Amino acid sequence: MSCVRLTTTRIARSGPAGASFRALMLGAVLLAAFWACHSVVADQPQCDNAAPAEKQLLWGDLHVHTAWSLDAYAFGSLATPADAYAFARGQPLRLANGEIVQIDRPLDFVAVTDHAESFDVMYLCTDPLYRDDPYCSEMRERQRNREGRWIFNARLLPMLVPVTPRGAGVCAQDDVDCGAASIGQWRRKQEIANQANDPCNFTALIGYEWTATPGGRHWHRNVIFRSGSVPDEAFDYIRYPRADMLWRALSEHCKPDGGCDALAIPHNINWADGGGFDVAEEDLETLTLRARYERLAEMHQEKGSSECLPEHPDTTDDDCDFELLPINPAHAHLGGPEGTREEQWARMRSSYYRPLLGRGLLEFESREDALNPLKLGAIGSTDNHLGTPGRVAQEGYWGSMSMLWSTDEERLARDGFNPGGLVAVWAEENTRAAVFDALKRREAYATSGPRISLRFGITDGQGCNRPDVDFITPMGGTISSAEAPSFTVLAGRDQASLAEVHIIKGEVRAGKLRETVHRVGVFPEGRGSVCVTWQDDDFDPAAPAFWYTRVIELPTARWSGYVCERIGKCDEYPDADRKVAQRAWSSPIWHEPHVR
Amino acid sequence: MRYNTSIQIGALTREPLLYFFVVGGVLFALSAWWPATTTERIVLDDARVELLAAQWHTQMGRAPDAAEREQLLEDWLREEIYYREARRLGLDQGDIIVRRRLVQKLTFLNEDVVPDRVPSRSELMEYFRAQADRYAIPDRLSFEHRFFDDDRRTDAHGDAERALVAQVPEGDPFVLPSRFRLRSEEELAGVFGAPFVDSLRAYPPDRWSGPLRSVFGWHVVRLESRDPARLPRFADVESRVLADFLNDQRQRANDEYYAALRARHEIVRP
Repeated sequence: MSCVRLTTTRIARSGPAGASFRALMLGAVLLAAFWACHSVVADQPQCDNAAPAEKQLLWGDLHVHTAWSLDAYAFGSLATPADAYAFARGQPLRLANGEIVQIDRPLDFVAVTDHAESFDVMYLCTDPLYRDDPYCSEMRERQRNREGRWIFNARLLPMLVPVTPRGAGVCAQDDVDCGAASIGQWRRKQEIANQANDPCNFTALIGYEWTATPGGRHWHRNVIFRSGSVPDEAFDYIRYPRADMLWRALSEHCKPDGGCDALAIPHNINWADGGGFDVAEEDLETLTLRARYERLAEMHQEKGSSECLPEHPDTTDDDCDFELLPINPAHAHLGGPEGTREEQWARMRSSYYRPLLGRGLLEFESREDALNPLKLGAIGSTDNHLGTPGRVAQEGYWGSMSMLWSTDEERLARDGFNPGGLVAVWAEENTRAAVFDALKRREAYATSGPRISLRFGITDGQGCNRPDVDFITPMGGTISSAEAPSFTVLAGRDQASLAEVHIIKGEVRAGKLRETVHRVGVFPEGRGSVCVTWQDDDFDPAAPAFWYTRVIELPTARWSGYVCERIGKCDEYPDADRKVAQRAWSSPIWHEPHVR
Repeated sequence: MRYNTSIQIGALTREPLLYFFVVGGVLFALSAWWPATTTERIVLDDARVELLAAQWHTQMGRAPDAAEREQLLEDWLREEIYYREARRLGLDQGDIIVRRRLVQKLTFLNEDVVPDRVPSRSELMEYFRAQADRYAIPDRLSFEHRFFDDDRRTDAHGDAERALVAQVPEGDPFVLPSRFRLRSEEELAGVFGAPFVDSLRAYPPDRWSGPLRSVFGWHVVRLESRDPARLPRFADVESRVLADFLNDQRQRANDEYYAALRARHEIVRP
């Protein structure tokens, strides 16, 4: 590539005349590479390792933080985004506590999604010019003293939690231009992703996290871009404090005819406290933007699963009992399920994945324009803050990054975390464009960690009787049908064999939402490969509906069990060695009747 | 003046570590022959006062008033006096946290004073050739397969064998694609299991062979090609090579720094 242009940005408005050599070099290299790569068009199909006419199954993680996120930095993460991409490809990484970690199977695609709200702080405080700024030096001092909690509480929360979010304290100084700093960091991130991207072998997507946290509720979105053509600015929660402002900014500055496209993926919706999906109050323009950008939601991650929550105070519902962590442990003083009032519990439930699908159907049913603003496919990711994408093995995990320096006993006392999940896509080839497009059409699914292979869709009556199962409408699609559809679930095991196949249906009949769970395959002895065809005999052609599948493994050991065993204290922590029935969740198929 | 044009000296002179060593060293020397009751001097100069005030300002959003200023100084004094006493009592000795932290500080300092040097293209190509192993594309296999499901058949293995005779096998539904192209053996082993790949590699090309077992069940396979390991074109991996070069350079600078320090020590192994 010969399109090299040297440019530097002055971040400090009244900086010294002779900026340091390193800052100049860094700026020059980064910007040169940025401009060079900016002009590359992303669509270059025909990888030699793609089989024509057959989609490949690719594994990824779309929610990863590194030391470039203020919280991750605070708690001792050392990894840069470049380290995270290398880790995803199978390189070992050394954690701050000396542990060397590695995944034995590389990932196919990754987005490193550092918090955009702290791009400015991280840029400034790692820039040599700002080494001595009191704000930065105190932050570094506290970080080195392992006072992560202080940085989190005194620096990050005041930015994100107030009703009106506000920029970092350092941005109030006269000579600091945080807007420029944020852009500087955003460019570095793009540059690193562009370098890591290796078309046909490994896809490094450009992305970031929009971290709306009003009152401590997680209304977070990960913004993922289709190509190297991205907006000049990362639209963060501080400058764009409502989700519709984010979508509007994307629609203005990320235009498909300029090669740009984006997705906004809600995640950690188990901690959203019912918020972030106020479709009943939104006008048509806003709902259209929502439907355009929000096509997926994170079903599972380190901070718990988000499929569904049992009714208050029932905790024996085995349909909705998987890796629940409904209360942010940081807010544990508010009380657990017992301390939560019934209406608050109901509100918490309403932003879980399955209720959101139901709310989408109700909206579709009640609207003249037949818009379902909540057609959310399912993905899993880790949300890990150590720069270790895809590190989902139960063995070796010891809790979230805030427990880096904790004892094993402290970790067991907060064992509600889990290693997090993965996202799989069915894509033509492993490139940014192909992976993104698969995500966008929701030919994507979630797992709680294992690489369970899964196809789900509408098939002809033959279903599993043909060796070449013909998926007429694959997962993520929409039908409008007068006849009862047949669904086929085709799945393959990972390290544990497969024990159950469920199809979950939601529909709106006579204005009322109904949910049913169909256990369409039960294999107590476990299977390596399963094919199940199921016809929905209770199909109502006039009722809007969704179906998705859940494939569950035989129970296996959980990380907390490994930890209690290692320190010989499974008696003291009796729940720690509980088993976990790992699983995959498909994206749904929707039925949208023409005639209502 | 908040900025210094020379970052090395600027950083060093304002790095508390230096004061730590200097002050600590002096104290250590003094404490060796002064009784503990001797009065020590603590100088509260303007620079110290201003730094404390500035930190306070950043946190609170306004300047401290006179009383608050006094309190800041008092707090700092208390900390300083405790700190000196702790050193006098040798509490820093043998403390793994103090030790690690000092080491971390030094590493951090060093990394910041070594600038990245961008290599020329020819230098980079040379580096690429010298590091060929790192960029080599491994052996890759292309094959087609059909699946025979133990759970659907009473004799999946037998059925697979019989299908081979006809050389046009029809298997059972299977979740993964029926063709894989140019996949590394490692990747395939991660999906089908290592024994599957070991057998697959050895089959004659362009013939249905098997049956062989994977983690899923029985398969018959037709190996299409074995592409031997090769080196990619430099242009295809240039950006990766550059990143690796810079990383190595940083690592080397650290190693050299360590080597220089180490040369100043005599290591005695009894």
